Amino acid sequence: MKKKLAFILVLTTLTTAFSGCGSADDKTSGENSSHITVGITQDLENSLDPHKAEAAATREILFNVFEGLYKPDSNGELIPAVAESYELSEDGLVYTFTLRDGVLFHNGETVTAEDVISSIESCAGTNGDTPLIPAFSNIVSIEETAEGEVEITLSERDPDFMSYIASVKAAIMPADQTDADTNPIGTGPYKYVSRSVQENIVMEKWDEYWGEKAYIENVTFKVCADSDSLVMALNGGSVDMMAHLPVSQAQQLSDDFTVLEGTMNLVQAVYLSHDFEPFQDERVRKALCYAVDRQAILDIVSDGKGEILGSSMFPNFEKYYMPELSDTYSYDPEKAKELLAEAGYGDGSLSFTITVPSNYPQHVDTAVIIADQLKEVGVNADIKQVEWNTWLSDVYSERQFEATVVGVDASNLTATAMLSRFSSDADNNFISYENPDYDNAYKSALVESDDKAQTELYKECLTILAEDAANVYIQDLAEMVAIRKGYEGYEFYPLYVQDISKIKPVE
Amino acid sequence: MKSTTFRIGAAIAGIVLLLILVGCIWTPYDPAAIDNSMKFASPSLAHPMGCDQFGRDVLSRIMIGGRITILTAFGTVILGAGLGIITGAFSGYFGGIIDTIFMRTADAFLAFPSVLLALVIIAIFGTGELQLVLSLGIAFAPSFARVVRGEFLRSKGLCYVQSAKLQGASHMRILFVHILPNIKSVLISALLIGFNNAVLAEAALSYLGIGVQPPKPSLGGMLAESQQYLFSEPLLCIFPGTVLILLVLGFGLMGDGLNTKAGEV
Repeated sequence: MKKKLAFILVLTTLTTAFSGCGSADDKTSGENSSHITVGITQDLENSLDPHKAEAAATREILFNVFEGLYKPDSNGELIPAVAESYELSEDGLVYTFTLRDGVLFHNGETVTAEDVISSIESCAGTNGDTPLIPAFSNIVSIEETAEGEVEITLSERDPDFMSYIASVKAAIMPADQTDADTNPIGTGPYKYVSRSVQENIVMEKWDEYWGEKAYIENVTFKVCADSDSLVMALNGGSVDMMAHLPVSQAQQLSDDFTVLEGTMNLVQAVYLSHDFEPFQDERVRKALCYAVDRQAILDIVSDGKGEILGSSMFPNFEKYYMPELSDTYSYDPEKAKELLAEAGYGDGSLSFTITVPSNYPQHVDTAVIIADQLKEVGVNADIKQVEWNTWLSDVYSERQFEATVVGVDASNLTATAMLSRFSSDADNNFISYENPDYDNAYKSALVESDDKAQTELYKECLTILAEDAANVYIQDLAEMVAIRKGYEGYEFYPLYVQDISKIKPVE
Repeated sequence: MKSTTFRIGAAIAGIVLLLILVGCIWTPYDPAAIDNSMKFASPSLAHPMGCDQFGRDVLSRIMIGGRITILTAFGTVILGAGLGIITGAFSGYFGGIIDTIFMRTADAFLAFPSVLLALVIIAIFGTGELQLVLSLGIAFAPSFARVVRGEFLRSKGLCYVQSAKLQGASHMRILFVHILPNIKSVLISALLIGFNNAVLAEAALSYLGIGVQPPKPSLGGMLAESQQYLFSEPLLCIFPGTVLILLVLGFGLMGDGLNTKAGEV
């Protein structure tokens, strides 16, 4: 009897692979080009209210339904959306937005100043709740000053304020809506139709959209939770488009697909806990940086695709990205050995554990290669895989780790999104980084009013992180987007966004 | 006389064990050595089973991975059978309150799947081979206890036990010197089946990423890693899968062979 188990094990492997994420029956693509099925690997949060959206996976989909007063475009610039323009007072405290005429919500009602005020207020927590967008706690008042004009007054200058205004979290919703969790009503190019939890979310083109209307009539976002079956889903025809594909899977797609190459907009690094004694020594951290051959990691994990990084900023964030930092530490095992010996950790006396979330194969693979490379310089790195939730609680919240390989991304288009976590008193400083120079540079950047000078200060922060070898920075991972031939126009954003309205069927 | 089934099983398991034994003293390559130029190399004379996504030699990894899989399975069976034999023997022989306590506890353990139980134990003690053995051993103990209890219950009324009692042998002597050797055929087949289940459980846990940690190879871990490349590089999955099947098939046939023989007697 028991020997059957062996076959069952193999069968299970095969069935999970073949089950894909749906049958081929719902194949409607190709024949009817005004429909597209987009595969997503993570279901949305329970609530579809954009103000409450925490997960990047929720925001990237809701981007199609909602808009703020402004919104980001694919170059990372902020463009007017519900507002037509804004003016900033000389002291930098009063923003006056002129609303666009005749913008309609998906329920057919016109957007009024009242809707804008109630939406911003709910994000700012003016009614006494915790602000949903912490930066909005800075708002003193929101008023309608004239017909179609809204004035927001801040208590202190915030050069990043517009970036927050343009995020999906600051979306404009009808003031009188009570069921935002289940029935999202926005002003975006797509209108919410229905949702089936863990299965799909359906949208249709919003014909009254104020701007350039979407091309494709119906969009279905289909949840494909099993990341191993993505290739089957695409090749089998049940899904037309999929973002965030690892290179290894993109290579297995048939000729029916165009594969676009971008980067994930995150900073993958061996994040080092500065509470762990050996890593408090700058020489040890530098030695690790010298011991890691980044190019080899890119070659093995993603066929040489991806961008090598030297600090906590990714290339699409052009304003702050400093490509020269990538060369701070060249691959030099001899130098690594010297530095280790100097620090008293010569010849095999340094051992540590790399904790990796097991649901991210690209991070696990990177950790495996790094452990192998560190062996060359006499450092013994063990790998410990943990579940994502364990990672969040043990590593991120409790800071119980020695080193971890993950990717850190930006939740909005501000430098603080990447840099605030390294100031010594930040709650999310999970590596317990403490460097007075960094704190000074970061604090002066926050209060600097001149944009250029501020950028310089942020760049100084990045340089400090690189030169101090705060972490072993590796890469911005390559990200593949597969889209069935017959569709075109996909655009990469420097944020976590899937903009379906730009995609059009090929004539 | 051993049955034919047993012989076939022994031959199959022997081949795999031989491969693994050779791996203890010699492997063609370092199983953890990464070599990008050999990434996804096809089987050749230099690499009979090809190379994986890191350019590591698959044959070397199977030799070492098989050893880790088998050792954890052995550990699991020793721990599980040890606990099971002791509790089973006492329950079966003494009966009464001891029996109730041990067997109801065993029932409680058996009420949910052993892999799930192992998952809980790993969640508490963390990942690693020792934890794996510990968790699977505890999870497997109740099923051994059941088998052993049944045998002791049956044996305690038999004449040779009665005569040992009359001669004044102590309980411990009767339990482990008189009865235990007499139930060995049932015990051995239970051990073989248990061993098989342990191999599969280890593979399943490593497959889930919570068993043996990379870069250490294990058969289940290799299956899990190769799943991403199932369609472009199917051989990566087929080789460790085949070894796993042969191993389990071999031990399973051996167990079946012994069972038949015990049945004939």
